[in-house]
Amino acid sequence: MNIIKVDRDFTRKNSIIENHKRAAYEDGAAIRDISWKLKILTDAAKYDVACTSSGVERKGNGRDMGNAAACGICHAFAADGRCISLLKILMSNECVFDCKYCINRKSNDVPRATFTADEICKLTMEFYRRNYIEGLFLSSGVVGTPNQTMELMYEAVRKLRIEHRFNGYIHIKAIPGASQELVEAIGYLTDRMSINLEMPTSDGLKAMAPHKSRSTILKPMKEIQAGIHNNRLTHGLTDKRIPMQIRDCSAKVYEKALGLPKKETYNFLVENDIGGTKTDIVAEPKADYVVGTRGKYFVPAGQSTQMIVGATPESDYHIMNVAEALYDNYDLKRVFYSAYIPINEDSSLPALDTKPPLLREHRLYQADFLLRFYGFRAGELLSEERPFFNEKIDPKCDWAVRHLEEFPVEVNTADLSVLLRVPGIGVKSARRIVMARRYGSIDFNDLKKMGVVLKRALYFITCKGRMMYSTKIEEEYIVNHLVYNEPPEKIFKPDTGSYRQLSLFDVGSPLMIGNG
Amino acid sequence: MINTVLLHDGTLDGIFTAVYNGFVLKNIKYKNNYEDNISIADIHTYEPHFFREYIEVETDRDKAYKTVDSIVKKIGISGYDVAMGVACHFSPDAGEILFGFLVRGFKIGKGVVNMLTDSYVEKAFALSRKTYNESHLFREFVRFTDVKGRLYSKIEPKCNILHMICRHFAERFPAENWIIYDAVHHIAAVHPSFGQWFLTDDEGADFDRIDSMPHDEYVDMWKLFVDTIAIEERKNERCQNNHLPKWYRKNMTEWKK
Repeated sequence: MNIIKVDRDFTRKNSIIENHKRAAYEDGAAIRDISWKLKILTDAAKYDVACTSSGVERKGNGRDMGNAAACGICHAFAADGRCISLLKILMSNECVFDCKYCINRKSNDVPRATFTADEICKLTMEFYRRNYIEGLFLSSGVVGTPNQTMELMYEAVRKLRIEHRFNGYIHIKAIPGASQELVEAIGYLTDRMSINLEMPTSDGLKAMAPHKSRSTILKPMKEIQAGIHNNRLTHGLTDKRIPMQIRDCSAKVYEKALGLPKKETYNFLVENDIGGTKTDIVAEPKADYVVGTRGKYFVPAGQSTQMIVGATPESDYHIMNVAEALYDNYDLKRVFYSAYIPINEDSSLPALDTKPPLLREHRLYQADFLLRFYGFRAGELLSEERPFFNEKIDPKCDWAVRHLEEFPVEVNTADLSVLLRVPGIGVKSARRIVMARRYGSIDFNDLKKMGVVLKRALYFITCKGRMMYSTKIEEEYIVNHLVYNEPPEKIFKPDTGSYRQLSLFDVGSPLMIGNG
Repeated sequence: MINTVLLHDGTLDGIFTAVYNGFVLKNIKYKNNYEDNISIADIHTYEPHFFREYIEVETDRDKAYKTVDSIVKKIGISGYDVAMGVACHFSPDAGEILFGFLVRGFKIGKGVVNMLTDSYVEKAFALSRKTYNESHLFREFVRFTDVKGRLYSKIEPKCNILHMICRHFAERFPAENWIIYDAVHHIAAVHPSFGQWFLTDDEGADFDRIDSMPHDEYVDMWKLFVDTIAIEERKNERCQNNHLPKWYRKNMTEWKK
C-alpha cells in the first residue's frame, strides 16, 4: 500500500487554484483561464529585464507570419517606463529552487500556474497579429529538473515555430543545469538566448541562490558562445557587430536544423577567470560540440545575461570588470543590470523598505555603453581606490574631468576616437562631425544642430581654436557647472559676477566626490 | 527672398509636380541668380503673404515621376530619402525647405547630404528625421483589432507616414487581410491576403461603424498584460511619457477606456 503524504498547505493552495479554475470554466470561457494564468505568470516574469527584440534581421517569407528587425521594435511602454517588446512570461512559476531574492522561490506562498505549449502559442500568435508584440520572451521556474523544464519550453517553441509557422522574435532564458543537447536544440529555434549570471561574484551567488552555481551558468554560456561563433563563421560573419541577415526563413529551415547537427571539431579557448575574480569552475564544453552548417541559424541575435545590483555588497568597479570580461571572453550582446527590488524577507538580504538603487543602475548602464560603443575600458572609469561611480555626474564627464590634460579637443581636426571621449558628443554626432567637416569648418552653432549637447561639451572642446565661453580648464570649476546643469547662457551671463552657484562645495560637502 | 509660391494639392504627386514646375520656372525667371525665390506650399494650409505671386499647380503624375527619377539620379538614393521625408512632413515650411534642399542638391550632387552646415540642408535633415522617427514609432504603436477575422487599425499621424509603414506590415502579415486607416490625411492602406497592398482615399467608407463591432477578447488580455508587467517600485511616469508621448496614445488599445 502506498502511503501518501499530504502537505496541507499545498492542498489549500491547490484548492484555491482549482476553485479559480472551476469558476472560470463555469462561466464557459477557457479564455478566462488563460487570462488568469497570464496575470500570474506575467507578474512572476516582470523582474526579468532584457525585453529587447534586436540583433537579427529576418525577412518575411511571403507566407508565414512574422519577421524581425535588427534595430528592434518596442511596442508599448509600461508604467515604469520600461519598453514592452516581447510577450514576457514564465512558462511556469512552480520552482524547486529556493533563490533568496526571487519571488518564485520554492518557499514563497504565491499562486502557481503553468502554461501549456498550446496556450503559449495561442497567446503569442494572437498578440503578434494585432501588432502588440515583437515575439515571445519565455523563461520559467524549474519544474522538476532543469532538463524537464527545458524540454517543456522546447516543446512550446517547437510548436510555435513549426506548427504555427511563427517567424517573429523568440528569446529563451536557458535554465542553469540543463543538458547541452537541449540547449543546442532550442538554440536553433530561438533568436536570442540568455542565462542569468544573477550575482556578480560566485560568493554572492552561493549565498543567494543555493541551488545554482557559477559552473552551471558559465558552462552553457560558453557553449552557446561557441555555437554562435561557429554558426556565424559558416555564414561568413566575422565582425560581431554585424547582425545576422536571414532571408530563407521558414518552418522547413527550423525542421532541417533540428535534425542531427554535423559534428566537426572545434578548439575552445577555455577561460576560467572572469572579471579578475577566480571563479569556481572551468568551462569545458565537449570538443566535438559544434553548431550549424549553412542554412541553420543558431541563436542568430546573440546571447545576453543579467546581474542583480544592490543585493550583495559588490562595488561598481567589480561589476564593470565582470561585464567587461563577459563582453571580451563570452561575446555577449548585452549585459543587463537590474536594481534589486526587495520582495522577500531574509536576514542575508537588504531590508524590505530598501529603495531599489535606480540611479546606480542607470550609471552602470551608462558605463556599459561606454564600454561597448565608446572604446572605454572598465579600468579607466573606476579603480580600486574609487570603486563607485559619481552619483552627481555621469561616468563620461567623470572620466573627462579627471583627465583634463587631454582637453580641450579641436573639433575640426580631432580623430573620431578622441571625439567619442568628449562628454556631450555621442556616437551619432561624432560621426556627423567627421562627415560634415570635410565640407567646411564647424562652429558651435553647427555642433548644436548636429545634436551635440553643448552644455556638457563646451568645457572640453574648441572650434577653430576658440572655446565657446572663457571657461577655466579646472576640475572643481567644471564639476560645479556640470552638477548644476544650468544652460550655459544663464551661467555665463556677464553680470552674475561670481561663477559660483552655491557655496555647498566650499564646506566640503559629499558632493565633492568628483574631485577624487 | 521668396516671391513665387507654387501651390499643390497636398498629395505626394502634387508636391513633386510642384517641384518640377518650380525648376522650370527657376530656369526661365531666375536663371542668373542663386537666391531662393521659389517656394512650394499646400493649397489647403498656406498663409497668403503680400508681394508674393501664387501659382496653382495641376497635379501631373508624369512630371512627378520625372522629378523623382532625376532626384535619385543626381542626388542619390540617400538624398531622395531626405527629400521624401521632407515632402511628407506636416510643417508649413516643408515646401520651401524641400525646394531649397533640391536646388542645392542639383547644383552639388550626391555630396549634398553631408553638407550639414548649410541651413537648408540642415533643416531638411531635421524635418526628414522627424518624419522617419514618426514612421518608426507608428510601426511600433499601430494596434490592430480583430474584426471578424480581419484586422483593422486607425491612426492619426502628424506626418504623412502611412505609405512608409505599409511595406513593413505587408512583409510581416502576408496572410492577413488588413486595413490601416489614416484619419488625418483621409487615406487608407488595404492589404488583401497574399496580395499587393494599395492606398485609397476614404470616400464612402464608414470606418466608425467598426467601433460598434463585437468586442475583441484579446484586447482585455493585452491590457491585463501591460498593467501587470510594470513594477510598482520603479514607477516612472516621466520616463513613460518620454518614450510614448501622449498624442500617440489616441488609438492605442491599452490606453482606450
